Amino acid sequence: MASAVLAACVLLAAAILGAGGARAQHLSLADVNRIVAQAAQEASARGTQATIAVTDRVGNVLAVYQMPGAPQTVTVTSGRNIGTGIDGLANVVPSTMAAIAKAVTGAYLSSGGNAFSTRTASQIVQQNFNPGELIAPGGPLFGVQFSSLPCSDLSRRFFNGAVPAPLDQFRGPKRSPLGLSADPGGLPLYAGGLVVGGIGVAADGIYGLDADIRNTDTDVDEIVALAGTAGFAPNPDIVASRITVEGKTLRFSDATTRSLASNPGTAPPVAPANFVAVPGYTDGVPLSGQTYGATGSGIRPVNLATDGMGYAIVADTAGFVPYVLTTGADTPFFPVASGAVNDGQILSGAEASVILGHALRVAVASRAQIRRPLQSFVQVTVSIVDAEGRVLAQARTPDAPIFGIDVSLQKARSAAFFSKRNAGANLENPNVLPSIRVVANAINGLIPGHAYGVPNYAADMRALLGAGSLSDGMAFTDRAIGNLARPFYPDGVNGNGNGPLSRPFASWSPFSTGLQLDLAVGNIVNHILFVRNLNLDVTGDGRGDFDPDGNGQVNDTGLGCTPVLSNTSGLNPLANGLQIFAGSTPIYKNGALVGAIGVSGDGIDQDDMVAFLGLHNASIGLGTGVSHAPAAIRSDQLAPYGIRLRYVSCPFSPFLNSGEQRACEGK
Amino acid sequence: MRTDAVTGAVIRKLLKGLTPLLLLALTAMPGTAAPELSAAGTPLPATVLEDVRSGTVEKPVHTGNETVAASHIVVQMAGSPALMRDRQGVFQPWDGNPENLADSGFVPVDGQMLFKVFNQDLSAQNFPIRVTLYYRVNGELKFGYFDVMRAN
Repeated sequence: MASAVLAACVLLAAAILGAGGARAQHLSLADVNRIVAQAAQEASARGTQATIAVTDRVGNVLAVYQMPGAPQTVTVTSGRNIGTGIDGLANVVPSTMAAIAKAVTGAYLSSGGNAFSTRTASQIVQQNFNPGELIAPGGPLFGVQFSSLPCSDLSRRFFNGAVPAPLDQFRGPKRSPLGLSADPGGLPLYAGGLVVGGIGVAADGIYGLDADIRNTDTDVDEIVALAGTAGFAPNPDIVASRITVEGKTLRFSDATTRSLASNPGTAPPVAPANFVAVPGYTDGVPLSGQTYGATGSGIRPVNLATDGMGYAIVADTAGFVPYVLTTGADTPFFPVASGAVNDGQILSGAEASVILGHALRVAVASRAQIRRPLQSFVQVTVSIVDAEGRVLAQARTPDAPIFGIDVSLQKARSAAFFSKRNAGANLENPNVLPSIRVVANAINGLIPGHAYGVPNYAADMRALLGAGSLSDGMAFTDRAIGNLARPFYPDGVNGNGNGPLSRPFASWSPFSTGLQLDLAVGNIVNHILFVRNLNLDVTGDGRGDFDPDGNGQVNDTGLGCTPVLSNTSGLNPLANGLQIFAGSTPIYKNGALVGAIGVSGDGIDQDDMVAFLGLHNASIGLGTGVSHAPAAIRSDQLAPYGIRLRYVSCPFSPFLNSGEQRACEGK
Repeated sequence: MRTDAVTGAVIRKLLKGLTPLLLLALTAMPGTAAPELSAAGTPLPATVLEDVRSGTVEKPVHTGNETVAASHIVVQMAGSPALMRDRQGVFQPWDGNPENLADSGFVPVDGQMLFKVFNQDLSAQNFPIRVTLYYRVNGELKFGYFDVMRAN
């Protein structure tokens, strides 16, 4: 196992660093201009005008090109006119934000072992998998669209015209203006077998999804994006259509090179004047991309000499040198730390390091679901948090997809939040629902027929699970949270009522997921207004009301995606948003909740197993009382409507070099 | 042109509804009363720094007739553990336990307490910075929070 990991690391390092004469793997300025030109030529050949965005692998926006006459805004829509959330929002969201979100999605979902697109994302976030089928469970990455949000406390920001420029101005992972996109038109870009970025196109004025994959679409955004990828396309062996999940083949693109109306090889240079600035993302000057894994990208291998004892323990336990996020000063973004006390117990930094190391060790011993070639090992990001949601440690395998960085943290925090006894009190904090309802009412005024009401989700949980729910210390994994956050309960049984953290299907869509979106919608809308820089006079005093310091810029969203505050610490326990699909488990010590582990990057069963077995194996080695939740308080003891919630679900025979089966049972 | 007019009307409706929320996010206008902290946590107006090299951040809060036993400041920024400010103005890691919060040493004067958060070059910091202000009265913590943003 160790030799396979070492070999993979060496290959990746060589590719990144350009060893042996290999091309350094990043997008050059010439590459960026070529990609934009190819896409723009295709758009012109089709008589359409497009907004085209290119990012590097860590989310830096390298260019946004807006053709004259391109639609300035997009309509956010599932096509079902559900009347809640941001579904139906028209004439508000700039096309530039949509294009950037698509490019980031193509880059973030992909890796050297899998090439996924926004069409792939569409397939895996809807109420049935596959979309268009009935009586099928929801998509495996249900809820991922609300990750890498602009308000995330993990994602780095770009500051336009910053003087002095922040040290981490070009370090990732960067945020995405609308989270991850499920609207076709976002594709990854490759060089030398490695993903180096993404392209996103907004031309048709719609920011939606593919509700029925049983047909083949002609989507102009996707076709134009495909033209842009000429010369930067993935190895055909790793595209989504070569990968199966739950026995179903994923989709990469309905467009093929036969769809193209132009020859990318003859694309003329584009007009420089049409590169546009986007506040928070680009100054309008095309850039070259960062090389993933090199210092400047903000994600690199652990430096055993300087990154501290905690990460040295992680590496030693894992059996290989993982990658970590770094600051502008090239220090670990998340230094290993000890947690806050809860019920008299603390998860120490050393314990967190050991748990993290064991999780990574499980990952590299396990068979990947979404990677090729077959028999590849699992590649993920693992986050450890304390009971308050503070990050204690985070690390990743070398080529895990970038989206998992933010998502693994969301998953960990979600498990910790719902397992803590003050969960209900924190959701019912007097500030939370009123602030969400202000935004909901504003959106109602914006969309004809919109009826965006916000339920008391905590009350709904108690109505279903009992008066003690969210205060009785029941241990929730994100799989169990997800069970309760589906528009049908149990998941996938069309026609059933919704789970208490969701909405009735008639008012649900991937743009209105229930508690998950409602907690973050204020910050999402705030960010849209910041990008639009709309300083309007709403008080009628003749002056703009949203730039009181007179610097000409509406304030961006602050640090943190939700209005939830911990009544223990005053800090935000869900600072990068709630996540509602599997891959995390709470951590206990001597019977008390001390934190959670979150994993993201492969199939959800693999993510669950890495978290679950990683914690189990660590608990044996540590001998300090660190453990899983006692069986009696795990959420699979709950059976609303007679249907038992799930705790975790692990692959049947998961390991590369062992025939062991049912590895999670009895633990 | 029509699209612009429609867009403008639509945005004005949105902003009207968002006014209560967004105005909380803006720098307090001169002359407005100092906000009050609360046990549930009070959102406070953001502070925007025109020049992060001259990072002076202060926030007054109304304490009325309360007897304040201690005051605390915690700051968070992306990629940093929560830091608490001590009496000397030094920031050190906070373990998240309210009982271990360092006393920042600010006291009320005439029913108002001025928290002095920063007075230093902040150009090397990640923005935005979330600041949480606390004071302890009758054994209870009251708190509020705001973001420090950079203008460019």
